Formats: sequence, structure tokens, C-alpha cells
Amino acid sequence: MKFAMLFFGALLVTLPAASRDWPYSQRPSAALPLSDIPGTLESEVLRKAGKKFIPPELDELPDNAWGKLVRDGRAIFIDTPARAPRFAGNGLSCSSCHLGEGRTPGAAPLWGAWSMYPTYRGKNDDVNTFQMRLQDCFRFSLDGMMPPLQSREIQALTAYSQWLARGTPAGTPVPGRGFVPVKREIEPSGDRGRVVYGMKCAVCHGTDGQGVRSADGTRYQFPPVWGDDSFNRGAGMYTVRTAAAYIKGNMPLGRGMSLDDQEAYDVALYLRLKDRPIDPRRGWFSDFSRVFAGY
Amino acid sequence: MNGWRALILILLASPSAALTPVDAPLPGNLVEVPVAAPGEVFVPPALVDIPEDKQGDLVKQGRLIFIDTVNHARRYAGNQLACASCHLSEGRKPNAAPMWAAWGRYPRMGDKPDVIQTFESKVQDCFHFSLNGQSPPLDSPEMLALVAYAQWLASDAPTGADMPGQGLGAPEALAGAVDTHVALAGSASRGETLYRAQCLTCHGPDGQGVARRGGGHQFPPLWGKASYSAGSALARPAPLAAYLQANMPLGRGSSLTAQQAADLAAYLLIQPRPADPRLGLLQRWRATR
Repeated sequence: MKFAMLFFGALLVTLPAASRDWPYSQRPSAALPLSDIPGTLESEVLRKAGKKFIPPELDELPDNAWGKLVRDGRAIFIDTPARAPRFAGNGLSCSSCHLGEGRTPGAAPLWGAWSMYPTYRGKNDDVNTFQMRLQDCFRFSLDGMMPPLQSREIQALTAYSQWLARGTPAGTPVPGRGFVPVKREIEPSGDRGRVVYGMKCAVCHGTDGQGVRSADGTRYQFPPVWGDDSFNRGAGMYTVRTAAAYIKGNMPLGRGMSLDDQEAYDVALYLRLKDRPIDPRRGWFSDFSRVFAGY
Repeated sequence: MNGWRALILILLASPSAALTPVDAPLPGNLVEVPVAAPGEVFVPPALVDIPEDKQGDLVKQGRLIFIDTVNHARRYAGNQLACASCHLSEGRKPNAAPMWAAWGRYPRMGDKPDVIQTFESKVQDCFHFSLNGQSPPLDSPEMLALVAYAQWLASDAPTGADMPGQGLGAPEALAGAVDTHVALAGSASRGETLYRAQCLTCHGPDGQGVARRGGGHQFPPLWGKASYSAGSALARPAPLAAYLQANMPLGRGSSLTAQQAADLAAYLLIQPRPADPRLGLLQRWRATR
């Protein structure tokens, strides 16, 4: 009796160990090498030392319906007013903020975002899918209409994001996602922001903040940062700390991290004080009351 | 007397004593999936790892819908099956179309050319065909919960990469030889013999399964009104044979040969089941004649 119980006890211990032997030989990540791809694309260090994540190149896309959808998504992403005219509201494209066609680390890259959704967002106090997040971008940052979830635009942008994110671990914050961290306890000053803007930003974005149009005048070379063609008051960039994080990590273009936190906050407040489209969640009266309240 | 005390002490101190039902993890949490170099495995997260926030609540709701579709997605479920009737171990078991492998691979090409399947549209198809019900809208709470559950199961799995154990892979496919199960010509009469020998204990002589008291099934019905419709993927011989070979009998997957799986599939597919919901009444009437 004793020996039988001991025997079954030992069996219980050894069984899980035996079930760990699986007849698999190929590691899945071997199908998608994550390192040592020569190219001009931005790379970002993954959590494991020595491993880099590089978003795939456009030439790797197959020539089928899926590849076409991803290419459509990229076209919408970099030229939103022309490629998604029924939903875009202002002169911005997705890539006006998501630099490098959504690849640049620290500029909310798509490869860092896609696998994090569905996730909780404080903005609407609910769990949002990636498609709902895209809808919010159209509604606030692009000051336009929300594309329906089953629309071609949403599908194309989703496919483009998933393609960029191939190989990143799902549901895990990858280094480089979102914006760079900034300090919280900083008192911004719009006056100092005006000075910094004039010195470092006005070359591209103009003293009037209207950006620079391309030679044929159809689209923006440098996006407008305030005014009718810019993001509205519901956008995340309208929040001073968010805008400061973006500015610190990416601006002036090509010289990110050259401003300190104080300067970034100052410029962000300077932009916030300028005129721009109203928050679509609020009515006209609440927007006027904002003026009367003095901020 | 001292001997009994020693035995009790040995039993308490031995590792098997730690496997009392109180400490044992829930059955769905034990599936390990090999991913990488030897010794490295992907383990879907355990239920206790669900965060205690709104997203965690959604994930829990998604799991409830997944394992008990009849009661938790009542307005869209049509038959008596749950998602977990086919996606075994709450969507964790390799080669039973696990959620952790599926989630990151969408959007991708569908079966037909020029059709892109998103994960959401795939879930809709599951409701439409396999559950013989209605497709939940893209923004319905059921859809959000199921997507959140799948994404949570896929935590840390590489996005978009092919993982061993994905889909209905037959053991040959696991070794990297072929991706699709070769459809052998099955014999329904041999399949019936095999069914009576190996499947009847759980699924019953009439394929009706074993029902739970509160709705749903402990062992799913394989044909008849309460089973999946003729439009679902498992109503085609090749995927059904691949699924049977990889997963059935429950707990003894890969014990059938390919020929036996094809025989079983042939037997299951000559049985009556709900019509393909894409067909109209006239077409159904013609098909039954």
C-alpha cells in the first residue's frame, strides 16, 4: 500500500516533465530573422540584448490582395487628405506626427502600438481596439470623420500596422513605443515658448504656424501646427505634456532630444494657446466658455 | 505507530503532496507551446495573471464567452456549441486552432483570393457557420471581449510569425514537411466502426454529445441540430481529418493514423447537420433531394 502510493506520487511528479518533450525542431522566430538586415530603416533595441527589431521593407510585400491592402494602408498613412478624402478633415497626414511612415521610435511608431491593443485608454475610460484608436485619430488629430470599422480605410491601416509589427512580442511594451518620457513637475511658459519656437521651429513650420506646402501646393511638406488645417482641441497633441514628450523626442526634425524638458513644455504651451479647430466632443458654447475662462 | 507517522511525513514532504487540488493550477493553464531553442517554450498566461482593471474584466468576459458561448453570447449563438468545443483547453491547445497563434497573424489572406480576413471577420465567420448563429457586429461587447481574450492569450507571442502548433496542423505539418493535411479518401463504414470503438463513449451513439445541466455541452454534439452547420470549416473533409488526427480522442491526440482520421471524417460528414446558412431555402431543398 505504501509503495503503491509512493509510486503514484512519483508518477505525478514525472508526468509533466515527460509532456514537455515536443517534436518540434524549428523556432518560429527563425522564419523571420530579427537582426542583421541591412537597410536604411530605423532599428530599435528589443528587450534581449543584441537583438534588434527592424520593421520590414516595402519590397518584401507579396504581390497579392494582402500586399495590395498593406500598400494601400501605407498610401493612406503618408498621404491621408488625398487617399482618404472622405474621412480626413484637415491638412495633416498620419505620418505628419508618426514620422518615418510610422517607423520612427519615439514618434508613436505603429509597430509599437499594434500589438498593445485592445487596451484601456483613459481618454474615454474604456477598452479600445486598434480600429477604435484609428477612429479617434481621424476624429481628433485629423479633425475629420470616424471611418466605420469595416471601411476599406480602417482595414488597410490595420493591415499596414500589423505588417510593420511583425515579430514584436504581443501585448508587451516594446522600447521605443509611444513618446519619450518627460518630467511631470514643470511649469511651462508661453512667452519662453514663443522665443524657442521662433528660434528652432519657425524655419519649417512658419512664423504663422501654417507649415510649408509642397511645390504643387496640394499637400504639406511640413505640417501646420495651428490654425484651421491643424489638429483640433480634442487631439492628444493638445495636451501640453503629450506634446512636450513628442517635441522633446522628435523636434527639430532630425535633431530629437536636443531640447530639454523645460523648452519642450514651453513650446507645447505656446502651441496650445494658438487658435485651432474646436474639440468635436464639445458644443460651441463650451468652446466659447473656454475663451471667457481665460485659457 | 512510528512507521505511520513517518509515512505521513514522507507524503507531506514529497513534491506530489504539493499537487493537492487546492494548489494545482487550473486545467486550462497547463498548455506549453514550444517556440524556440530547446528548453524554451511559450506559455500562454495563467488566469491569475489577468489584471484587475477594465481590460482584465473584458478579458474575463471574453473567456466566459469562449468557454460557454450558449449562455454568455446568447443573442448570437445558434447551436449548442461553445468556441472551446473545437478550440480545446479554452483556446490554448496547440493544433486545435489556438488563439495565441491566431491573433497576431491577422489581417491575412483568406481562403478565397482577393479576400482579406481580419481577426474580427474570422470571429464573425465562426459565429455564422460553426455556431450556426448570427455574426456579432464589429463594435459589439461580445466581439470586443473575444478580441481582448485572444490578445491576452497571445501575450509575448511574436506578432505575425508562424508558430508551431498554429491552426489544425497535423503531426506531419509540425515537422515542417507539409502545411495542409492530405485528404485521403475515407470510407464511412470503416469510420463507423472506428467511431463506435473510440468516440462513442463521449459523443454518444447518435453523436449528440453530453449536455451540461445549465446549457451547453460537456462533450459537443457532432451532428444534428445542435452541431455545426455544413458551411463551417470542419464540415470539409480535409480540415476535419487534420483536426481529428491532431486532437481526438481527447487527451490522446496523434493516436489515429491519417487513414483512420479520413475514415472518421467521412463518417461524420454523411450525417445530417444544419444547412450552409449561405444557401437559400430553394437551394437547401434541392441539396437534400
